Amino acid sequence: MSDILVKSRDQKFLLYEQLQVENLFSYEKFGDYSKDVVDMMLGEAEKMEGSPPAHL
Amino acid sequence: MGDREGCTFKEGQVSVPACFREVYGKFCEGGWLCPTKDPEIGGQGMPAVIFSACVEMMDAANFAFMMYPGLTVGAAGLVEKYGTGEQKEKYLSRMLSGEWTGTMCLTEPGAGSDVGALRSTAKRLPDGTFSITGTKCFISCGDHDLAENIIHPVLARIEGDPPGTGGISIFLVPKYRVNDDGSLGELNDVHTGNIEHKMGIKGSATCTLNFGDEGKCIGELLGRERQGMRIMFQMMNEARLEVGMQALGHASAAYQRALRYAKERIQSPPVWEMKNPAAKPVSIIEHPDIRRTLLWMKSHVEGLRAMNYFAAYALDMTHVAESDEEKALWNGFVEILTPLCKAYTSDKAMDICSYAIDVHGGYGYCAEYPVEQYMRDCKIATIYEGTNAIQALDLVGRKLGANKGAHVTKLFQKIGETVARAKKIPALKKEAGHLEEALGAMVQLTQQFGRWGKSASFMIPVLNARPYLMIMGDLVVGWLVLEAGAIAAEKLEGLYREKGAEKSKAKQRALARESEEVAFYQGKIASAVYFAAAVLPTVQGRCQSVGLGDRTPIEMLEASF
Repeated sequence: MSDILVKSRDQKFLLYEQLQVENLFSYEKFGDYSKDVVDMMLGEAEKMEGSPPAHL
Repeated sequence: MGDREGCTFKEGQVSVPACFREVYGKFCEGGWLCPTKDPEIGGQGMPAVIFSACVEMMDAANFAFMMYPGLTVGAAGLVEKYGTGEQKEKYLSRMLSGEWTGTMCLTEPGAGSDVGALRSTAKRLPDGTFSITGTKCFISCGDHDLAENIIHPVLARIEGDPPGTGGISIFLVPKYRVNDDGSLGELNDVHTGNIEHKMGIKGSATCTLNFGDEGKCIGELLGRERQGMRIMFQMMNEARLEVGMQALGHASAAYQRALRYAKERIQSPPVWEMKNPAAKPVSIIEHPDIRRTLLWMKSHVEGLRAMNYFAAYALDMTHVAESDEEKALWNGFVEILTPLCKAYTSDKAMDICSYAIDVHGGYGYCAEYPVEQYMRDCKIATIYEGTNAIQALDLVGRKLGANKGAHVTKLFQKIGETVARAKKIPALKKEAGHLEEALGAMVQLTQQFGRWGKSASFMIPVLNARPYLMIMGDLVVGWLVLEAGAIAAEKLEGLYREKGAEKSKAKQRALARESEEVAFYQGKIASAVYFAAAVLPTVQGRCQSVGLGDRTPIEMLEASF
């Protein structure tokens, strides 16, 4: 079983389906962002989460 | 990581756990220090809500480590907003790259929650800088060997300025002085007296710092004189939202660990096989009390996450809002949710960590499983950045009445919108009713607080600020999990129709076994239904209890305790 600490499906549900953060990307300030970019960032953060063994 | 090794203090030097160094390097190189800052100053212009999702994972992995970047970016934010051109030039880029770190120096041995009582002083020097003298304690990341310099924003009173918070100024005090060419000069007479030996976050160095023992500690004024509290509040407000995230990360990790353990651990036959001696033991997730505990944890974690991300989203909206009215609306959500994110999240996270230990049984109490560490680490979140009692006073004393009650009114309106939405969904109609009743009770109690606040009974809201905050938190979480449930119900309707399962509960259950997506959305509905049944009905009762206006705790004599 994977050693997850935060369920990423839950995060994505909240970001995209509940808060609909994609609205933000239509503003100039956040114009460089898109769902793809965010998914990539979350993936990188997940690697950072897993990079040190969380419990030693 | 870092919990066993902790921080050490030898010959005046503080060392962090060795493994932190590599992670800190990776963290800064990866651009995780300040992605929400503008690209011109080294950030990536990332929306705060997206960064929240990233930070939750990192906080879940290591609470103590995240203190170092968090404080650095917070302190840099003060330089960014209030620093002179020269100060920005000198400090900003090196702090935002992680080359130098930051702290926040408010607390003194005699001035904790009562910041105004501080005794640190600043004496004017002929060149416009100040000589700082005083002792600060409980300074997180106050000294360490993770970076070559540390920039302390320090609250102190300029000689001759009035007592209380109105007479406090803020100074930038580097550990090593910075030469005009940006190179590091001599030590700035800032000495570490000791580090605390704490219950948790052992990898975060909590220091007593002595400024100006030899009269050689030089500080630069940040912003204007006597504006120190106002300036520091910017950092404190951001930090309060960050504390909510730290607590959320731990709540999530505790739930996930408990869930995993409950699936793996085999113990006792199911309760309905009680009289069958040949019955086989099952995973403990089959047992009713474990299931109830897990769903309590799940629904709270989801609601807490929604509340904290929503606050970050509201913060983003304040930056892009196109009219003053819209900006005021979103700013109002940030204002009223900040004390809730900090205090309600951390109090509930402690419950969640505690339940995670219960699910593990005796093993949960032992160091071979991480849940005992979660609970120890998480406890600080109810205390620092303003105790949860202070947060409750902020909510009741400042935020409720702000803009003639506009913030709380808009929040209640938003909750009302979800009631209306959920009422149209057959599967959530009853739950919408529970939320509506809870909302009604809370509206009444809030009005009652307003009346008490303006009368001789103003001590009743002060006395009951903390229960009020906790009830409000339940209402907000009840709202957000019901909204999630409504979205899930709408999605499921489509998924059921595709498979011809609209009318059959049995088919819907069978679908959930085949499809992760269906199981996920059913889980959202389960959270909404459970929370509405288990928690929302208690809101009314607790509103009624606070509404009685009992004042025994303040009236009884000290000797009678």
